Amino acid sequence: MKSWKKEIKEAFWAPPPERKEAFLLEHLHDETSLWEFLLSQSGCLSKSTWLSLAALFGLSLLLGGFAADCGKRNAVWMVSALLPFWSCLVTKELLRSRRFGMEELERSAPHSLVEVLLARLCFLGGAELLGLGVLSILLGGGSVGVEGSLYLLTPYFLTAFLTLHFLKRCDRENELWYCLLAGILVSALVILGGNQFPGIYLESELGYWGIALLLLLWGTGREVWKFLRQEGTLWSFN
Amino acid sequence: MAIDMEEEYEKIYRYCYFHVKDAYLAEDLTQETFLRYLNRNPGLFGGKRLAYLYTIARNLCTDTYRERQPEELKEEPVLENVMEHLEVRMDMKQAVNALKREEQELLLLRYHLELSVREAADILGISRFAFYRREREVLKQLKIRLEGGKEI
Repeated sequence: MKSWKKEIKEAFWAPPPERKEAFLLEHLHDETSLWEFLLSQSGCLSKSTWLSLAALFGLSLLLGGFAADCGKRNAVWMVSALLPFWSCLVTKELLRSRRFGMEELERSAPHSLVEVLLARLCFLGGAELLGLGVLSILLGGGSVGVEGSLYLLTPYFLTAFLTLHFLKRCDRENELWYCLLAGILVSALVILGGNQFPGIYLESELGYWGIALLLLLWGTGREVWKFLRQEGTLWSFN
Repeated sequence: MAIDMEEEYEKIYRYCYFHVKDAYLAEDLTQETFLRYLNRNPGLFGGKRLAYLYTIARNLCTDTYRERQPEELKEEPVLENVMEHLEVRMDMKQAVNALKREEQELLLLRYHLELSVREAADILGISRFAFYRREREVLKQLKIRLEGGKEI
């Protein structure tokens, strides 16, 4: 069988290609590692986004510190009302290419538009989640744990899901406004919900929070995938 | 994982050459395949990038084949006396050329281009089980032809 394999291989002989080197020279880009690519994309995130994130982080810390006198649970509740705006920053960054008509330019770069958007999403999203982690440690002295994480992440991902959902249905001119509207709505929902129905923050309701977060994670992941696919195919000329 | 363009260029070229039997055209199709592959956000296809690349090549070859004027088959052996042919032991190249095109493609992907069963099955659009089954049948056909038996 081994000799057969060799003979079968030889049966498909083809003359060597003549224009391989020239083609590869023109189209083979320098390979960059994943980390190098992520770092390069981090430099492309706008300064206003970083400043806004820093401001939101500072504000969350202040608010949490202020509310801590009323208990950890209250501190987490009040801070969670700000988290929708954290999420809006990520969507704002994802829409930057569309807002300024940069998609075509970015498509001509070595990396595809989808890879660029995904890198920015991972970098900024990761930075925000890190900020949330630091926030929860500072607010709860490290003891916020699962409960606090649920209260913080649920409005965050609810906003992410809603903004991406709106984007498919609204006109491009008003995209950012719709994102902001989603952030305001979720924030208002958190404030009113906590105020009118404080019972939802009891330990006995944690199971529902968990289910809600899982559903939102799934929904957000799906919307992100659809968004990236749409952006990826929008400028396909084939 | 990103594909190695340098390695795959030769393989795609040989794959196209198998279909069109013209070196210059095969190289044109190879380059067109890569240009289309790079334009279509390969990152979206995850682990199936290789199958996607070969599918582009395959479709391009099929389109080219349809556009071209029908030509006499240069590589296929012309059998004037079928009975005589059945008795003669074929060498491997003749045996491979006597197979159906789909069967030759299977051997090309698996033995010449040395793709894994999963990769080759993805390219052909069949399950791994179906691939194994077809591979067994093709090798059986080859064995019969090489040992001078009747065609099935």
